[in-house]
Amino acid sequence: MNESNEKKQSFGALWGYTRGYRRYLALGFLLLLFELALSFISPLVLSVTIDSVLDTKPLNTPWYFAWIIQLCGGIGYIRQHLAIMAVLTVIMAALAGALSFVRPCLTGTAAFQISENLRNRFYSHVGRLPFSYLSATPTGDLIQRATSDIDTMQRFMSGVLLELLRTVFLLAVGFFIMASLNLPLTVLSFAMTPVIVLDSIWFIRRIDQIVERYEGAESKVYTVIQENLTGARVVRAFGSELFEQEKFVQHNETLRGEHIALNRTLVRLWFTLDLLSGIQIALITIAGVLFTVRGSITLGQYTAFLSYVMIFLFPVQNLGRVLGNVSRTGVAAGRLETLFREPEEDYVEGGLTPNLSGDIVLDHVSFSFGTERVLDDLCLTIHGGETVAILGGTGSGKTTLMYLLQRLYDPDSGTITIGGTDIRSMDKGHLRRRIGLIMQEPFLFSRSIRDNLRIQNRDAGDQAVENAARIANIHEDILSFDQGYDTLVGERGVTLSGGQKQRASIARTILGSHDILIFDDALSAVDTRTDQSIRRALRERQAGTTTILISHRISTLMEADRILVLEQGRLVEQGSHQELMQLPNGVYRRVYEIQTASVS
Amino acid sequence: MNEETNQTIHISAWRTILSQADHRGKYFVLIVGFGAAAGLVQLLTSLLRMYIIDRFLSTMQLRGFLPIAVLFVLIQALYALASYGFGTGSGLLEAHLTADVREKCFRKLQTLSFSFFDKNAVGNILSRLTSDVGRTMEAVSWSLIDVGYGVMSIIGAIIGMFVINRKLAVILILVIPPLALISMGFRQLILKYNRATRRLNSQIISSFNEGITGAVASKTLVLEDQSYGEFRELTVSMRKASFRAAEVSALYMPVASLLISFSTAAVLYIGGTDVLRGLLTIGELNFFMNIGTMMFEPIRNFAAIFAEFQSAQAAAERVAEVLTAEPDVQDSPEVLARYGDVFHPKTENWEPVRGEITFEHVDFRYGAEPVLTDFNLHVLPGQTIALVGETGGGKSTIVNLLCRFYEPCAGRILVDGTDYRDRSQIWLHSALGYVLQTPHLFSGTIRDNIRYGNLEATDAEIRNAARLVGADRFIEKLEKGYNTEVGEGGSLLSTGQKQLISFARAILADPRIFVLDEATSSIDTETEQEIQAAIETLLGSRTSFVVAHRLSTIRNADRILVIDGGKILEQGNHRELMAKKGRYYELYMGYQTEDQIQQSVQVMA
Ligand SMILES: Nc1ncnc2c1ncn2[C@@H]1O[C@H](COP(=O)(O)OP(=O)(O)OP(=O)(O)O)[C@@H](O)[C@H]1O
Ligand SMILES: Nc1ncnc2c1ncn2[C@@H]1O[C@H](COP(=O)(O)OP(=O)(O)OP(=O)(O)O)[C@@H](O)[C@H]1O
Ligand SMILES: [Mg+2]
Repeated sequence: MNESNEKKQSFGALWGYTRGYRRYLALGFLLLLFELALSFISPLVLSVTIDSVLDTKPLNTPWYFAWIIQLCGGIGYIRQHLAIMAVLTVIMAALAGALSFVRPCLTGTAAFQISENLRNRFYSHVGRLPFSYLSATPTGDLIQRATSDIDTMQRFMSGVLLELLRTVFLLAVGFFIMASLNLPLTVLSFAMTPVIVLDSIWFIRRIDQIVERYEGAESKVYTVIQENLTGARVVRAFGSELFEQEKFVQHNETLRGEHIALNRTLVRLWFTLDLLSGIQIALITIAGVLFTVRGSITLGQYTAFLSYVMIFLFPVQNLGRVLGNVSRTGVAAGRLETLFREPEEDYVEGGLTPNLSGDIVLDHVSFSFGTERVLDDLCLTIHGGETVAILGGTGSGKTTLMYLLQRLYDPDSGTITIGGTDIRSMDKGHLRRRIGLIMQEPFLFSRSIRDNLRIQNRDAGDQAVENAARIANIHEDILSFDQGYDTLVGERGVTLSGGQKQRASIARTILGSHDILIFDDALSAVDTRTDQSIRRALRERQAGTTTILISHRISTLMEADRILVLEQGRLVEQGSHQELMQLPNGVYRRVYEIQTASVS
Repeated sequence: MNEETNQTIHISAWRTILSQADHRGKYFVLIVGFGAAAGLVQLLTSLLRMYIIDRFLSTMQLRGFLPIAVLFVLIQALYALASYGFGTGSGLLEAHLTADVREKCFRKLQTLSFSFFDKNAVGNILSRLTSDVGRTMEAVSWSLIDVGYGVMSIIGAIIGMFVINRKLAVILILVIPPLALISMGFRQLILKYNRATRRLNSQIISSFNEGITGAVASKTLVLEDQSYGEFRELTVSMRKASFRAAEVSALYMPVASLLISFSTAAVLYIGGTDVLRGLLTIGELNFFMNIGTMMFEPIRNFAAIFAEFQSAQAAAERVAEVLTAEPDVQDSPEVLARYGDVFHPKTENWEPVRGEITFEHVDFRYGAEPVLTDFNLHVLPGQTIALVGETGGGKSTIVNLLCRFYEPCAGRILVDGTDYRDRSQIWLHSALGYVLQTPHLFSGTIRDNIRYGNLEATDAEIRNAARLVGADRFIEKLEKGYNTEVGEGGSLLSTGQKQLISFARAILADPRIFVLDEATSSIDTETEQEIQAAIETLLGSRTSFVVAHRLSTIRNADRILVIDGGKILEQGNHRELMAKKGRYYELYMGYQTEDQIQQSVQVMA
């Protein structure tokens, strides 16, 4: 995709974001026109005062102002009552004031709505992106898009956009009004405008590129900070603060450099703009004198011209800043759009929602991460209602297999059916809800323990919550906390002990009802006694539920109806404890022997 | 955060932040100087125009106009130069201040202890270092121009006005006090709303952060829609608060301009009357009409700066909170003087660590509920201590205290016979090899991650460490071997693999004191068995603490402590404890007696 095309697309996207709020922006724009008109009429008050009130020249002013003078009783009357002009000044200010209050409110309504929508869309979209995308994308980068890119967008909608339009229309309206006073002088007043615009465009090209580099550097810095904060405990434990600081400084210096380069180019742009504007001011001041002395315009009109040039030069000067913002907005919109275009996971909404208590059958399932084959032509059956334990070496693909069941990943080849139905035809929400997966590394949300337990079943009563907590053997622990169930759990559950986290996540899952329950090494941080009592309690309560236990503990494994042994993505042994113990050189038997060896 | 707006907090937040960058003072001077020059040039333009009207236009003749015209052009060029000056200054200042303060904040964060990270969500801190710092520095840098420019134009304008016509000058100045008063009123209001938006902003960032880092959990629990619903509540509040803030700011400007228009009107009326009486020239009247706007522009600008600062104020406070945060675990000044801090360790003064550890009557609590009470323990250099017991009993807490990630609330902990508070933290941390219960890797390659334990390690040493823990087998099978990216937090590896890497990382550190907090809980039994011997040799000469639930891994420890409710219930070696038939025996048997369990299974069947 070429650059200008991409840019066009990002502005197209920007236009799309305004859908639904265009009328606010349009209305704001309309008011802006009034404001503009008013700002061109105000200088006429002084102009007429100088020419026809303080002097005795005949009234020589555009029709609309002549009409206002007429309303006030005519120039003759005003000559007797100078105060009328004073009152007119105040009225103009009041009108302009009212407009300048209402307009930001309108555009604000639109801008804040739009950024609200963007934030919502972002959040919802990221939540629905495929797991594989998320695990490969740095959090800091996503966060930067979610925050600074959306902020840029909000600023654009609430101010920058109108400022841009304002400048364009200021020039149009200004030209029209000034031309009605004196055409040649008007042409002179606008002489530098094309140069200013060309100059801006030339600069903006370069600024665009710098902005992109700047944003890239910024996103690196955010990532470094984010990682350092999440890994703060490791940093302390290794005393590697100095190393971290140096790493940060390195990226921060790059960002500093880009920031300086960006600002420097912007300043250069502003300088050329100021210079060109200065020439414009000098031109009109000097030419105006010549015109006045020649009698082409009156003294009052001269003062009006001076005011006009100032009125539109300021926004024209600002055009650089505004265009800089526009360019930033383009980049930000592009970055957002790239993410938004990332395809979401297909939730198969409206797919089949069968009961999942039937047999789970894997038929020649293979799966690879890149070129690394993790599951290799795996065929296995887990009967409905059965308790199956899985034993397997580190990295043998146990967790991946469970993720396949929940369709966090899909197999490269082969099919998975539950109760005879291909899981790919099932509604994903249903599939995941009916399969309770207790993850190997528990993730708790930063809220109270009660809310964490209820997170999937918001209507669960206190009694149900406590029951689940009892089964997971964490009720007593929770009661021992100061605030009991209302204790706040830090991000990722940092304020709980490792075993408490695991048990909390078990309680969270068993609070709901499931056809299939998966414990992915979910009791590893729990002592054996507790482990056993949890499994006992579960067995009573969840009778009939297909249960898959991944564990390294023989005591856990041997209680299962059947044990599957995985090795490098292949099923190498299966059977009951007794059966596997018969295999002379079996993996299971070796593990058993290691764990039960007594001290001699 | 404190809701009451109180003057001292305001200034102190800014002072805290700006004191981080006092060596950038030259930019401040530069910007204000050039701003003032620009203000002066603007005033000259007005004066020159007055002169032109009265000298040439009122008399309708052009003699002597050329030099004036040239002067006028020159002045315009001067203005552009001044603007180049202050623009450059502000641009540099902004870039430097942002980078400087961010660096200071980051540095500060490196000194904060675990408790800070227990209490503050990552997203919250992140937002302070990113958007809050940016916003604050933008306000400071670019407003300075207006300050220099404004002060100069106002002073210049006032002097000019008084020289030209005292009466009109007084009329124009009269409006300043009410204008100031109104600005004050708005100030409080705007600040209030901006605080709300900043707070919401940080909550939104935290939500984003949690939503992203917890994405898998959300997916498996099917929480996408629900979290989204909760998130929307936040963004709705954000919209409302932003709108309030914008509304109040929008109201301020018109009120101020209306006020100003009163004085302009008065000038027009009184000045006009004077012109009719011949007491004032047209040029002077024009000057006064324009100087009104010229002088009030900066005043309104001040108000805008004010508003800008008010909205930046909330951000500044959040940044200042990071800069002034006090770590709960701190080295005393004497210790720092002798041993240096984390960034400037004075390693030449460090005593070598032998690894004798003593807990003396240690009490500890995180919040109100005590976790340890009167805990005593003496460990000789080179001993291996195993901690076992029920979950939540305080095992991790004991090792965290020993590592000085937290400090005892009462009692003391001695390392090599000295209270560890008489040594620097980095002294102890440098001697530590800690494998945390939740393995955390940094994004980068496997090699980078292992090397984290010792930045000077050679590739051979890294491979050796990996071999010791049995990680080499899976690493070498990977296509890119040691150059495989592990992903953020290690997300591209299995949990057991992460544990192996973080174990290798600790070994590479070659520590005097080893802490293994369930370091092998997710590692398969065979690997564990294979590396057991190597690990035991490794731990042999070092003081080590091993927390484990799979008891087969700690059978050979010198001493096993059974921890329950923050107390040592039993201690001794495996054989002694088994003979005792107490809690350890129960745990051990629960762990492995197949007969009992088989019987119970058969009964049930
Ligand atoms: N950062 C913290 N803030 C508040 N309370 C905490 C914090 N860390 C642990 N606790 C509490 O202190 C108690 C002891 O926790 P600790 O982590 O020491 O237990 P443990 O014996 O290591 O348990 P496990 O075997 O489950 O890891 C627990 O009740 C826990 O909830
Ligand atoms: N997101 C990923 N991208 C690339 N490779 C991955 C990813 N997740 C896992 N792997 C690799 O796939 C293999 C299987 O991982 P998996 O997590 O399924 O193992 P496991 O059997 O659960 O191991 P453990 O007992 O350590 O938890 C490992 O070699 C791992 O490195
Ligand atoms: Mg796993």
